[in-house]
This record gives sequence, structure tokens and C-alpha cells, in this order.
Amino acid sequence: MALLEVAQLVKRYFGVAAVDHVNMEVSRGQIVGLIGPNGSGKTTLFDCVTRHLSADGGQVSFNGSDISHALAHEVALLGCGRTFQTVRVFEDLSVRENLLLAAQQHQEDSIIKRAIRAPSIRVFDNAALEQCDEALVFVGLARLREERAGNLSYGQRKLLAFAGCLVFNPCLVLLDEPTAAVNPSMIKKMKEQIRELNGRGITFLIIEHNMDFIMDLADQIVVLDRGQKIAEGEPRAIQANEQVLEAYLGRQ
Amino acid sequence: MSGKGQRAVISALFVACLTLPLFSQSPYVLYVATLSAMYIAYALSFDLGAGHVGAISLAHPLFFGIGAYSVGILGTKANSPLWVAGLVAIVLAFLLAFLVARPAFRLKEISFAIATLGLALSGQLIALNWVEVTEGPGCINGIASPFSGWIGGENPYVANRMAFYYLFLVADLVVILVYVLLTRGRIGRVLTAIRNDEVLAASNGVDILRYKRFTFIAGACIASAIGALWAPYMTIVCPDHLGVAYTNTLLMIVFVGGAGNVWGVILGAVLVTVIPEVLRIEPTWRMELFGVVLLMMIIVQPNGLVGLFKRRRGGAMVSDTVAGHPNGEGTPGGGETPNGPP
Repeated sequence: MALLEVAQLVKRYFGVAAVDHVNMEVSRGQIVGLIGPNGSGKTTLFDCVTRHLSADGGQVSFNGSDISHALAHEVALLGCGRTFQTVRVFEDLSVRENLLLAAQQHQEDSIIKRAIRAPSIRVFDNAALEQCDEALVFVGLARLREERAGNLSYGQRKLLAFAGCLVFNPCLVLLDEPTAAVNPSMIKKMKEQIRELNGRGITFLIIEHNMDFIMDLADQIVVLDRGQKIAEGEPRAIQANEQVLEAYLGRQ
Repeated sequence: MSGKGQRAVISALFVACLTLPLFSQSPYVLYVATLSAMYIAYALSFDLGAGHVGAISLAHPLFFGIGAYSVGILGTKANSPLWVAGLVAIVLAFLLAFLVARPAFRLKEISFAIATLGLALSGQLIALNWVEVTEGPGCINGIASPFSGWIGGENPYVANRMAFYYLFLVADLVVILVYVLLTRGRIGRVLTAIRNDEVLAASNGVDILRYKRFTFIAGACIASAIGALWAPYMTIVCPDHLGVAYTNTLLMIVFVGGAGNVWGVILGAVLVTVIPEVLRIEPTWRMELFGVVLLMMIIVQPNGLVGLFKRRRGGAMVSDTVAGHPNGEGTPGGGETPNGPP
């Protein structure tokens, strides 16, 4: 069974269907690219999957559980991490605290025990610190771990957000335009990192406008246009697809 | 402030608070000091929600009032000792806060404030009109002091007031301890995260509503306990105590001193209670003045007075070593222009 299944998903804004009866599947271990012109509903689809938006119809199931009516944090706790198109970090927390926050949400959780720092909690704290430092080394932010996240540059925030959705060992990661406003050498490094994580068993669903990047990386490509899925297949087939060329470049 | 300097300042302040009655035994000075001490605890309980998750509950005085009325009613009509009435007060506040929290936090910021305003007004109306129990606008009078049995000496009036002063100092210590426990470490991080960015917090697995409810309920219980101590000090409880005027004072304290910061709230509580007394401001003008000061603070110094002292963590922008555009949100370049299917 697929890791993520989206069936007949609909999201309307005042009568305009931003996502219009979309069906798609992401199998375990894959890297799937989600492409389409601006306004084609890619981010809306993401938001409906992670439940930051409520869909108007259809089903989403993740890792065997129906998440069509789950809350956003429940989806995250099931093991689904994501980044956002406009990069988001907790500005008043340090770089490491940003990751600690994510890591600790996935541990056992009792507000009272946390407040008095019960001994069982200390074990968790040490484990979480280790996970964070590992993730910071992985994205190359270890040097800045005590820095306030609000002081980071745009590129650094992007790396921090990337680390944030990896730190709790998710099984699925949704990336919303990871290469936007990132320089070419960094894009290359990011590609290697995604491949490495994929090798460790993390499944990726990636929204991307950088075609060189996504065509090289993805096993499968899904193309949206005006809320509808117009094509699906391997990168090579998508590149030759008439309908896709038309959606991107207009009628020739 | 370094750790050492900070400890010295804390110790000095603590000694000053303890020895204050040695310098002045004037009931008036003691009253102002006790009022400050009460407001420190009261405002800290308000700040749990307002300063940490941005949930400004206008019903906070209602919970204070529940505490005060519980002690007033049980003390005068059933002769309950203070600790029994106090426990009842906390349980009642807990139950009401628990019931209200779930539906109230389905609302976003402003709607939440308005809903709690409605709650506060209904509470006040009940206190005004349920005359058989609350004595209505006549107020509950003659609430006995818990110290009256074992205070003698030549001036029992001053001794009683002094005992209350120390009682509120102890209450402050307890509330500060609870406040710090609930706002540091992992829980503090979660609260900061919620205040910074709720969407990101949810995608990191934070159950935002659970934490909001938690701060709301904890704040309500503390406020009720403080109200329960305040009633026998004033010996009278009136429907006014549940009113929105008290919310204004709390907002003043929190935003003048510094929301979300224990020192800020303490500083705010002392300033807002002492300055009007020192300047002898006409009570009818207080609200107008408070309004203007509150607006000025929010515009000019949104971090409150402690924001002036606080060193900014990190300081200057870190040099951009890795990638991209230091100027933030814009997504130029590869962002919106597709490189096109080749």
C-alpha cells in the first residue's frame, strides 16, 4: 500500500476549485516531484494533506491511517514533516532550540512531568539534544547552534527549516520549493542530501519549479494545472508530454 | 546582567521586601505594598496566557472574583476557614476554566477576547443580581481575617495588615516559582514557538490548543487563589471586582513592564500600583491616563520596560555564509520562473 494516498481531493475558494478532484499516490521510498504553473494548486494540495487547510472533499490517508479529518499536529506526529514556501522559523528561539522543539514533540509528553523535569524526562532531553546536533551537522549549521534564529539570513533559515522537518525521523517529508532563492552550489548539495536521506528510507514529495533539479531527482512526477492533475509518470515521459508543455509554455 | 549581579539584585530586593514594615508601619504604606504584592501574583497569572501564547482573556478578573466570592460567601454564611474556602475557590475556577477553554479557543485572537469579555460581563451580572447569595450591589461585607484569632498586641489592626503583607509575599514566591516552572525549558520553548508562528508549531507537532488551554486554566486557578486571599484582606467583595476595569490594570502591568517576562511583570505591577498613589492621581482620570500610556507603550516599546534593559541575543545579523538572499521573504531567481521543461 502506498505511504500517502490522496483520493478525489477538493478544495474550493469561493467557488473556484484550487484543487479539483486530485488523485495521487506516493509509494514508500520514492521521491515524487509535484510541478505545475503558478496557481495550479500545489501548495494548497500540501496544506490539505498536512491539514493546515480543511479540504472540501475527498480522502487522504497516510501510513495506513485516514488523516482526512486529523489536526495538523496529529499529521506531524504520525511522521510527516514539511517545509513552507515562505520560509518559517521560530525567530525568538535559538537555532538549536528550533530543532529541539520539533524533536521533543515526538517524545512522551506530560506537561507536569516536563515542568518538574522528572528523571524520565532527562533521558529524553539528552536523546533530543543528540538528534538536534546531528541534524545541525548534516545541514551545516552546527557553528550557529546558539544563534537566535531571527538573526539568520534567508539561506540559513531555509537550511534550518529543512533540518527542522528531518530531526524527528519522519517517514514522509513534503518540501515546498526547496531551491527557491538558493544559489547553484547549494542546490547541488541539497540534491545530494535529499538522495542520502532517501537512501536512509525517507520518502519525499517535492514542489519545485527548478526543472533541472526535480527531473534529475524524482522517480515520479505529478503535474497539476488549474487544480487538476494533467499528467503523471517518470520524468522522461513528462518532459515529452504535449499537455504539460502546453500548460507551462502556452499553446504553440 | 551577569548571573552574579542578578543574584545580588534579587537578594537585595528580597531583603528590602522583608524589612519594609520595619521602615514604615503606616497602614497606608503597608496597604500600597500589599496591593503591589497582590498585583504581582495576579498579573503573573494573567501573563501566562497573555504574554506567552498571545491569548488575552478579558475574563481574568472573573476568576479572581470567583476566588474572592467563594471566600466571601463561605466565610460569612458558612463560617468556613480560609483554606477550605480557598480550595473550593480553586476547584470552581478550574471547572469553569476547563469548561470554557475548549469552545473559547476555537476562536481566533479578537473573537477570543470578545468571547471572554462576554463571559466576564455575565459573571458580573450574576454577582449583581443573585442577591440571595452575593448580596448584589450591596457587596459581601465583614469577611473575617484568618489572623484575627491569634493576633493581639497593642495594635492588632497594624499587626493584621502586616500579616497580610507577608502572606502576599509568600504568595508571590509561590506564584513566581510556578510561573518559572511553566515557562522555562521545554514548555517555555513550546509557548515561545506558539507565539512566534502557530502554523509552523503545528507542523512540528505542537498541539497548540492544548497549550493554550493549559495556560488559561493554570492562570485561572492562580487568579482564583489570589482572589481568595484578597477578600479577607479587603473584608469586602463587590461585583466591581469582576469587572473589565481590572482587566485594564492587568493589561497595563503586563505591557508596561514587559509581556512574557517575569521581571517585566513584577516591575509593571509595582509601577502601576505605586505611581498613581505617589502622584495621587484622581481615580476618574486613571483610566484615561492608563489608556494613553498603554497605547504609547505598545507603539513605542512593545517589549515593555524590560525590553530597554534586555540585551538582544546574538546582536547583529549573522554574515551569510551559505546561500541566498539576506533580505528575507522575496523569492527572486529560481523561485517563480520555471526553467521550463527542456
